[in-house]
Amino acid sequence: MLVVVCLTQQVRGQSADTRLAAQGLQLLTDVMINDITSPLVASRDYTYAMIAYYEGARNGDTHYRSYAGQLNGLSAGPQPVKGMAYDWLTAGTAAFYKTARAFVFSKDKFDQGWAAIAATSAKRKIPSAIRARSEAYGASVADWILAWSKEDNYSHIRTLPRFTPTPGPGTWQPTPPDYMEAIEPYWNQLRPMVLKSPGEVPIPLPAPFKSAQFLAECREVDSVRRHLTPDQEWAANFWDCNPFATRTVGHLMYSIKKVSPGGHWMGIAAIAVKMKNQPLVPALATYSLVSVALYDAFIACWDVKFKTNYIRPVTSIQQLMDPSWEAVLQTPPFPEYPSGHSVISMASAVVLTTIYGDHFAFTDNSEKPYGVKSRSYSSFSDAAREAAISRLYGGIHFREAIEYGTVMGKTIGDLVTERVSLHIN
Amino acid sequence: MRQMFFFLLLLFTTALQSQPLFTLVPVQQSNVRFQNTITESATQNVLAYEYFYNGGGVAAGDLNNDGLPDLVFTANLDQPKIYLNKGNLSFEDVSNKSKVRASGWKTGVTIADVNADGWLDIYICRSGNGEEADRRNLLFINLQNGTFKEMGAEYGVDDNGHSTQAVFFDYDNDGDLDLFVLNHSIKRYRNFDVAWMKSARDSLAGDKLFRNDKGHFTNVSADAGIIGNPICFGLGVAVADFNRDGWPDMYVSNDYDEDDYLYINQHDGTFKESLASFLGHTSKFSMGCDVADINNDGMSDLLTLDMLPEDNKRQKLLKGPDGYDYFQMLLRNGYYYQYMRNMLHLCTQQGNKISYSEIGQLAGISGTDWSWSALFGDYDLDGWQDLFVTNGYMRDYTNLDYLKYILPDEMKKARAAGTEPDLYGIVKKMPSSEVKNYLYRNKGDLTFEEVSRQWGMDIASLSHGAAYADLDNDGDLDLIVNNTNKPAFIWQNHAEDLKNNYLKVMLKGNGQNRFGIGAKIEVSAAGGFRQLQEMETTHGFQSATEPVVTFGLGKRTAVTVTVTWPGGNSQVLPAQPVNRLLILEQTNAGGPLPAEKMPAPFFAEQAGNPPLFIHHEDAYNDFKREPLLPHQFTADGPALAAADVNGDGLTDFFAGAAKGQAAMIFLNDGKGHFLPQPSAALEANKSVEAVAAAFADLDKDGDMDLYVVSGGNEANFTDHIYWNDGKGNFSERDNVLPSTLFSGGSVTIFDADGDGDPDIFRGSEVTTGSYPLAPRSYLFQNTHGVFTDVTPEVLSHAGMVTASAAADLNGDGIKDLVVAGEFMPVTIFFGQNAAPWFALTAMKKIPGSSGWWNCLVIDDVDGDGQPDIIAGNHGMNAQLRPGPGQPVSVDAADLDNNGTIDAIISYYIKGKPYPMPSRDELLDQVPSLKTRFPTYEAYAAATIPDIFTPAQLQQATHLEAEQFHSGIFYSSKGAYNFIPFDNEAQAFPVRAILTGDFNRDGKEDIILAGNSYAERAQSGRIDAGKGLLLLQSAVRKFVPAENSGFFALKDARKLVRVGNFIVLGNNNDSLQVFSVLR
Repeated sequence: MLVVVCLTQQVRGQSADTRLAAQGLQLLTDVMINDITSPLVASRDYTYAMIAYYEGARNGDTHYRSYAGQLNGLSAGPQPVKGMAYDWLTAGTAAFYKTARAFVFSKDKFDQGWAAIAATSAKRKIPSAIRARSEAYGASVADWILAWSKEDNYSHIRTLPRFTPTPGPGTWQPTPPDYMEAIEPYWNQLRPMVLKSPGEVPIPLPAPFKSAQFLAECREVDSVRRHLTPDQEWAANFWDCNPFATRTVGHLMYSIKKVSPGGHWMGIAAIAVKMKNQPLVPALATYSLVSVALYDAFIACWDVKFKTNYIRPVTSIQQLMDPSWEAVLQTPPFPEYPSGHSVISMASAVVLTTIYGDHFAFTDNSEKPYGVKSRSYSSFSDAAREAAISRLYGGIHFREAIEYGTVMGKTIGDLVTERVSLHIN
Repeated sequence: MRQMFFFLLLLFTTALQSQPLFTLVPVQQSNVRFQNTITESATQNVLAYEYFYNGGGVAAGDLNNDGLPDLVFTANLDQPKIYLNKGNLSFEDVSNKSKVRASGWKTGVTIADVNADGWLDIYICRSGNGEEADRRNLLFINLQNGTFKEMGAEYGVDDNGHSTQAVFFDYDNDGDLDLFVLNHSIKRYRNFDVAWMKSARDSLAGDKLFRNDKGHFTNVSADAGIIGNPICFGLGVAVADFNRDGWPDMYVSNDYDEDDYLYINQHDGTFKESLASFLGHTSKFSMGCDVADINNDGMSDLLTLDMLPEDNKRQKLLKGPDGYDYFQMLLRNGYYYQYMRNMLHLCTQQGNKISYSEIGQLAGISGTDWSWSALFGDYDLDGWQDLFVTNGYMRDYTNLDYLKYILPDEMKKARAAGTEPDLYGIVKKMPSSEVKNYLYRNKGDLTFEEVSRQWGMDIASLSHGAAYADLDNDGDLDLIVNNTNKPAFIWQNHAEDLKNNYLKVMLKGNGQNRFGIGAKIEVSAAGGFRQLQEMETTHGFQSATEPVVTFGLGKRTAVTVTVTWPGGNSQVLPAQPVNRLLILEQTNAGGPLPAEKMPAPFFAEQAGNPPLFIHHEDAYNDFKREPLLPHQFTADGPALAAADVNGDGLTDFFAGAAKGQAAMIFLNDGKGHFLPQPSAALEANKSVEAVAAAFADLDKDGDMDLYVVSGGNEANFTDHIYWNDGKGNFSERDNVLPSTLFSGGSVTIFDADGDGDPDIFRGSEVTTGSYPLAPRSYLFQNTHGVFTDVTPEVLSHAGMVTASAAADLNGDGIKDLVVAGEFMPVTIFFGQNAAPWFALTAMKKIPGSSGWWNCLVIDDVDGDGQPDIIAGNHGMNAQLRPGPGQPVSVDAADLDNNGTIDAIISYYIKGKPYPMPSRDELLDQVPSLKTRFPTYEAYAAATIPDIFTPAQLQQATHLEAEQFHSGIFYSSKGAYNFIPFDNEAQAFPVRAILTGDFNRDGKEDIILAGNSYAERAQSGRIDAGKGLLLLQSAVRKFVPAENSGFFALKDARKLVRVGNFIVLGNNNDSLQVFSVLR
């Protein structure tokens, strides 16, 4: 009896609501990892799912306003009936469930994981009429978000030809060990959330192939590789975030799956939410706004990646210096410039800093499930800067891609926080 | 009692009749209790040493010279076993007495009389991840008293590499036996894009050649040109005279990315790796190999094994080769064309040109799962070499669900719990893939029939090394198989029940080569029967056979035996009686045989140095847009057409080009040369792919104008007419030809409307981006040189048209049109004398003729006055091929509502139709299907109704192809009777046909050329076509001409007769010009 009371109290408390949202986010992450969802597709899944969650629950806190009118193509959504009672956690959860489920591939796995969330939710004492009304409202929010998502050009991109590597010096070539096709060459054709165009945030071109600067950068990657400290190696692995790295032992090939770069930052957002003991709606505002930043950061980054079509360190060092050279990390399958992790990390950090302040020290345990020990940071931008430079430690990026990637991410983060205002002061 | 007796008699007779060819000899009878027991441990396992599951070997040979072959087995972990043959398939284990002991990890075993004392010695290879002392190879010299002495170091053959197998042979023809040791790396390199590794030398992984210098062996690998790089993964070696010059050559099978090697003997103590000069492609994960004359033409053919499973489920579950880009990357870095399946390389010779045609799929032996030993032998003694294959792998660990889901989950679980995952513990849980071994009966027509069950072999096992030998001296070949964790198989052969005759031959060599290793033995008999065998002991995988060759002779009762000894001396023994062991001595040999006389050639290729014209296909890749296409359409062309363009009485010709290159007119100078004639008009249109062309006087001004079809699968499909000024200068005119919007496949110029001027049919081949929807074809009516689109409905969407031809087929005085293409029947449109000229009511689809047609010629081949249709089809040398009642089909619909057509090809595998794409390929095209097929297992049994919803299936375009054979539709009173060509002509897609009476005997003959390089990375290029001249020896009977002089070894597309020349157009390669000699 006592146990039941405790549970009920926990569930009713604000942190319990937030915990349920965090569980939903974690489930989405887990299913995407299982399905080997690419970092870009993952950023899209997160964004729509978390916006739906936020919009479904938003009316539970009068200090928060809708994304409608603030994101490209998103006009006003369904409104709750005035004077009727709603349970906003139920509404938000229903909106999230329907939206996220529409995006993930392994719907059976998603439903299996959802059963626990649904059970927790069912234990909450809400009159059945309110529950039904809230669920219906949540579903209508999901329909609104799904209809909006259908106009983002994604399904058209699916029909375009796969990328063909171009010959020629300094161009990107498929990289060992699997020489995979470059992913998502047309991601810049996706509708951004707040950016006016994928190229709204320009950065300088990288150093010309075989120029003195280029050769110096090659030497730096090689030198870092040879003098790698244990801490650098730890950082490289901590921020690896490769959803599908393969290992081969003879004919035995297996994969190691990790959370994607975007998923890692969603994890950091969850850590901040938990540390600040945020109530449901502000928590959802954090998740959704970080995901908006991630989404636009990937679009802007991919725009430059496929325009510059720049060679990876492993290819150039093997060509120019040492044919047997290998990077610490597996090089992900797309052009080098700028570093995606640098762009999206800094964009996310700017959003989190805007919400939680600059000197927000935290310990990041997001990589624990993947066998990498936690690391501590003095601020979000401290973490973002390490994520960026870790790509040099890992041997998969040149310094320029990291530095300009960070600059690009900062600007995108600023634009997101400028153009979207959720909290009503 | 009487009744009982009859009953028993009946039972006995039935039992006798139903006894399969092979029965397993019970251990109680054989006393052969050997098994290769593999016990895994934390330090001894497949992760520590990747060839941990490769199994042991077996050698058969008469060790005590009592006339009965004895057996030597190697176990990886345990001691080798020696069994003496006591007759009646009973053996005595003399392992301890013999003193053949070996520590460490044993692999292959071979036998040879190394010290030339007339007694067979034993050579055992070792590998593993242990100490070097436990890895040196061992030579056990036969002391002639039942014991052996290990003398590897004394002889200099104690190689410390990681060895798989060895072969003793006389590579320098100096009369003694030298040694080649096949090694493998124990490290795995994944950065295979680094070419430097190919030329590096690794003394432990690299293969080695040892020269016998008066009884001591010297490592001459580097000087002799033997590749010894760190990415050698040698799993098979076969010695034979591959280039037929009288010197032994070597084929080496390499696992993984490293190419196989074909070492051609240079006669000076060195070899030259010459794979690319003889073979078009090879197995990828090449394993065991063997050599035999499988088509009884007196030439040795080669088989290499690989890992392709036979059934759909295992094909879909297991990791196959990598994708298109990875494959291209390997090619760019100097690796050869390698595909994951068994390859049967058939030796072909024309004049002095030797080339191998890979016909494994035509032969029906391309998929035997994870295979080890290939042993050719005439097991039923019918005069054709049959095939035995061992297979199986202890852990089924290329299962893709393990790779993508199960293993990562286990790792994640372990990591989340804070422990390092125990990979070996996970691997240990994987199931063992015990599969049945394969027996194939040679049907004598280049194809094999699987008879494993019928011949009594239906036991699942992990079988590795194997050998054949006549253990019971009854003339047929018994089989001995080394199994992992299961007693060895001794299969007794009951071919004596079939009453076929045989001849066994044993050789007594002079000097140091006492068993005549390397000799060629050929038997021949009346009726054109001949078969070659080469005397070698190392065969199959890690195993060796006795130095005796067995010829099955069917019902033949006398044969001529011809032996060519190493060095070239020979002897011919006519009228030899059969069913006995014939022992021949080299001392009785005479001089070399006279060179085989070749018939005079029909054609001579012009040297063409530099080549007249090289067609450069641009790099466009259809699969980037439509990953599920069965093959690319982009690699069409070059077009060819011939006419006298400048009115000098000499036939000139036109050659089309691919995008980015100008097509060209070549003028005949009457002195045997063709001179390129630059043309601004052709130059202006170099952005199109000129895939078909025809000359005709389109404006009736007395000269030949040129119509050129634009094709490919990229963009820009507008055809062009080039108008002749009478002197061979061409220009275009505006507004004379409507635009053609679809990729072209063919053109036929004929008077469709009967008004005396030529009209044009333009067949369209593919709807770019929407395969297999029918593109629009065109009929253009000529009005004083201006063409209007008058295409009747029935022609406009005839299908994916690749070929067309016109003639009056029904004798009504009006031209009829024959059209064929991909997923199309051969369709005859009978002409009418009024518009719309062709109608549904006068159309005939030849029943049962839907195919993947490439070309058509109308000609009265049999001379009965009725025009026949000679048609080139895809051929039968492919995974995708129809059988009776088992069509290849395609279903196409927009499965995910994204505005593009998703086309899924299906074909029958073991009696049931399955989709062609792997799960990865399907999900790449239709990502939403991931929900329906969350695992590889879920997709492994899927058929079309599991991929399409009923509603989608109802709306889907469904096309079928029932016939892939090329052949002739003989016309007889309006009916067409299809007679396929013989199998030589079914080994490749026939892309070009030319008829003519080439031997001037009054009967039409046929030249065929073709191939297809632009195939999927998985299925690989079809390059078995070498050019065929089929001579009509009797009405409707065609035989391939020997030494025709016509070589079409490339990706042939078009053939055209140009006066006294034949011009052959090759895609992405040079034109070939042949003079007609007769």
